[in-house]
Amino acid sequence: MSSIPLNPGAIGTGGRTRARENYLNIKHTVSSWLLTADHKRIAVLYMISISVMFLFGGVAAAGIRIALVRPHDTFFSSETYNKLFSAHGIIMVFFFLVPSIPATLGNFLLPIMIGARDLAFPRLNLLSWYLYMFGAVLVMGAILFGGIDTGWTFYEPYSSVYSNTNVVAVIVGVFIAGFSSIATGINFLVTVHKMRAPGLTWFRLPLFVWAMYATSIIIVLGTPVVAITLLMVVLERVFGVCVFNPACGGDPILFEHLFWFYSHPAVYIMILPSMGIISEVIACFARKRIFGYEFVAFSSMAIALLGFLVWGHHMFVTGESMYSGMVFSLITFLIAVPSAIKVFNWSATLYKGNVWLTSPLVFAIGFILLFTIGGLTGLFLASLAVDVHLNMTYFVVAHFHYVMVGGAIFGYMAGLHFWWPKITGRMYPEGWAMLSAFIMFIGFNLTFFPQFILGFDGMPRRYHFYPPEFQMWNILSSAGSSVLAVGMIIPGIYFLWSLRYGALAPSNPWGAKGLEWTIPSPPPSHNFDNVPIVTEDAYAYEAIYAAELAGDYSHVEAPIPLGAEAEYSSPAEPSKLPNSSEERQ
Amino acid sequence: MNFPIMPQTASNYAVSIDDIYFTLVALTVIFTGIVTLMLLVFSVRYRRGTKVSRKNPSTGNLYMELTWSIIPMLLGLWIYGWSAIPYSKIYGDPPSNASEIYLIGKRWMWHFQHANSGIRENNELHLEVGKAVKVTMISQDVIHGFYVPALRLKRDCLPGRYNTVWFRPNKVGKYYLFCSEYCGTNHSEMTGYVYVLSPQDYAQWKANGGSEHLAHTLTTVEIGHDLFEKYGCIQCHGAQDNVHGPTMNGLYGTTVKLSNGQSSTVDDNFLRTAIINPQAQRIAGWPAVMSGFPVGSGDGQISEENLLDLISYIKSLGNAQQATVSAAAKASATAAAPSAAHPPKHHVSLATKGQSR
Repeated sequence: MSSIPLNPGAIGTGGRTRARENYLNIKHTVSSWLLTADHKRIAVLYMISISVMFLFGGVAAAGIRIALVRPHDTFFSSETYNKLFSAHGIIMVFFFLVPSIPATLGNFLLPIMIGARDLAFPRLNLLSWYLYMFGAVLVMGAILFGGIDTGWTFYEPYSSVYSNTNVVAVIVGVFIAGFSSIATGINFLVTVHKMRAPGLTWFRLPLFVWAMYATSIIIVLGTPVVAITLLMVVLERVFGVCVFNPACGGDPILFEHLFWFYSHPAVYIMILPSMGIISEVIACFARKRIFGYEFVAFSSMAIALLGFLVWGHHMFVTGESMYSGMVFSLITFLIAVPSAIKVFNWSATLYKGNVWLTSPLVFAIGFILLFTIGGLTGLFLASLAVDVHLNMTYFVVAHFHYVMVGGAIFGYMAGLHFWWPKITGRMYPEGWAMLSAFIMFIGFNLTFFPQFILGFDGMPRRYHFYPPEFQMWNILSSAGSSVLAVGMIIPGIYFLWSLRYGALAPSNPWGAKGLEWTIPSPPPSHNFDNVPIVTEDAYAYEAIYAAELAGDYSHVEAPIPLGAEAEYSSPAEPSKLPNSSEERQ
Repeated sequence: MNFPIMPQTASNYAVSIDDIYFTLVALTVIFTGIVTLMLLVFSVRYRRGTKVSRKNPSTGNLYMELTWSIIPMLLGLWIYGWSAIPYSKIYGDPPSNASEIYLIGKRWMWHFQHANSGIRENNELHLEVGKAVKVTMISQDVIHGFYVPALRLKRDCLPGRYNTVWFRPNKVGKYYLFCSEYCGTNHSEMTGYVYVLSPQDYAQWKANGGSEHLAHTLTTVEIGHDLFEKYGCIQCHGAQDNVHGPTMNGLYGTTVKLSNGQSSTVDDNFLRTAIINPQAQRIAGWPAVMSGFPVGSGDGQISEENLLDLISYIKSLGNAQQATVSAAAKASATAAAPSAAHPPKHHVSLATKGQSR
């Protein structure tokens, strides 16, 4: 069928065969889901949970944008407005962005990408989902019944003394969810260290695995700090233990230090996994090795480590020493370099590639553009004097939404589209996916670009009322947010549609490299019948590239139309040893 | 239809900050442009099926990596150094002729006291164009943020600790004052105006005694002087050291040794703690007899406003020149009373500079 000596498991009938039994259909009882130790099922549980949380967070955002259409909004009271932006921040940061990619795509793919049958601690993995759910239910209960108005930053002494809202319940919820992150992080670290398939050396790892590894380091080192800090807020609020409240001798600036010691690295928890996805998607659709693999891999590690040394850049105007401000600013400028390295390497990967413009790639390109703007505008805020003006304004809001939405969510969307066939065994409608990528890109820019200008104009963030001259920019932003919402609802619809009506996905619909594409879609519960032996680098696309330039696209398996599966569903034959040396010869 | 793209510029910092800002805008446009161009050109030119040369596709190049690491890094270091200069001015020492303004933030209003005229105002600040001012700020409750976009100026107004900032307004006008740090329900209504007046208008305003409802005739030093007697400070901290405590004459701005062995500069924050919680930082050589005055409005308590008045008075007793004078007076006083059971033992270094923050 083809002379390309690679991916044998994905070529020919073996690849077209949908395994009769896969992780989704092996059992159908509720308890088989709720008590599963299968990383893939847990990933699906997480995916459903974070999608629901995303919906809640999105509704809160809609409320904010409705309020800000008019300079003196009368639709909500200021109390409600404050609760809306607090709910938006808390839900999106702690219950969507932090767990989003690691707990869903990471959980699903990390073991498969390294040729393992599960994570190192499958039951710990399940526990992490229960911790997440427990925290999420507690927080949602607190938000729906009373709410919280501290913002997601819980600044002292407002949170411990002055706020009359459900601070304790929310903080306990965030605290519990923090342990879910820690459990996932430890699980990933151990898994990457101990469970790589034979031959899968560190520098053969897909960059997504590197990104997960770097993310896990940050999670494990950073989360305990914020957890204990938030616990101290609760102790102060409930028992009057004086830590941060200046009225009894505490120091509110200490809270800011401890909070940002986690929460700045947390930004990298949110963005590094997306960067991993982009590396996978770009390499696959350019049909090339990622340009400068080692630089991209080490830049993740550099970001993870330097990320712990820049927290003070949130505090240039708080009264921290001028000299510590200068040190934090300097390190912040330095951490921009590894990000720049990544952007240029991704762009260079496309050079002389055989670029297949698919929806995951379009999302990935959107990511790179928006992340570039998000990263560069971060330098405005790293610049000491400029930050004195821009800190706490809408410029900051715009900047971190470019990184968090334009970055993390576009990356998540790229990954979701890329691996959706693998996860669900179904293809989504490509045309709609392309459309939604463009709508999201336009809607996103329309929403958040005006906020840069608002910020430079001096509009402070977290303002329910604002001077009337800022209204037009706010109207633009609110209009953009409805476009963005449409761009996000469309994928929700076609993904759900695809579960029932989508064509059946072959093992390797993209002709991609990587162990996950050597096993059926959806994978069997145990992932691999035989432990794969890895004999080549990640992204060894040379043969595919050469074949495609010669006009041979047979490695790209066509989706199987619904109703035609009988013809293909021969009894599951044991998958062949993917990538094993004798197969490759 | 009003799409303002930048705020007014009304301080000595505004132009230099804007220069850095627009340089960054230019760099952002250039880099985003390069990346956009690379992505679009490569993904279109090398899209599947195009017949273009794909000879020698590269998967890595050390020189390229160095180029796109080092050039951004050098540009970053340049911007870093450039932007550190105005920053060190904003939060650094003000010029010696800067007039002092005390600012108290409370939910949800701003209260200003002009130290030299004693004028007080709420949510409005009147300034004379071209004259440097130093704002010393504190919050009565939660963290607030003193933010005047036209001045390109922001400083967090913290509870329990004085923060300072100085600037020179250089354009007559009326400018927004915002609270930039979220402080609760009416955060977005904790706003006001800074009026920068021409010298004539300012003199007129001052002669009229500021806003009428807050008219005040005493300066903060004068009020502080009265408080110094009212709270009984003068009994132990009179014109000369006595057995219970040191005199305040010449103390401000000096470096003192503390009973715990550390040394500290006597500045606003030091005095504040010394009044509220004196045992936290007792000057070495003096007995632990003073009980502090907690912040509050009750009996034996002192308000943030009065604290600032007191500090303003104590400050007036001691800049470096006065310190020399009072040290001479003290020396003669000690000589006149050689039999004193408790010779003064505090270590006041008179050589240190008078201004510090």
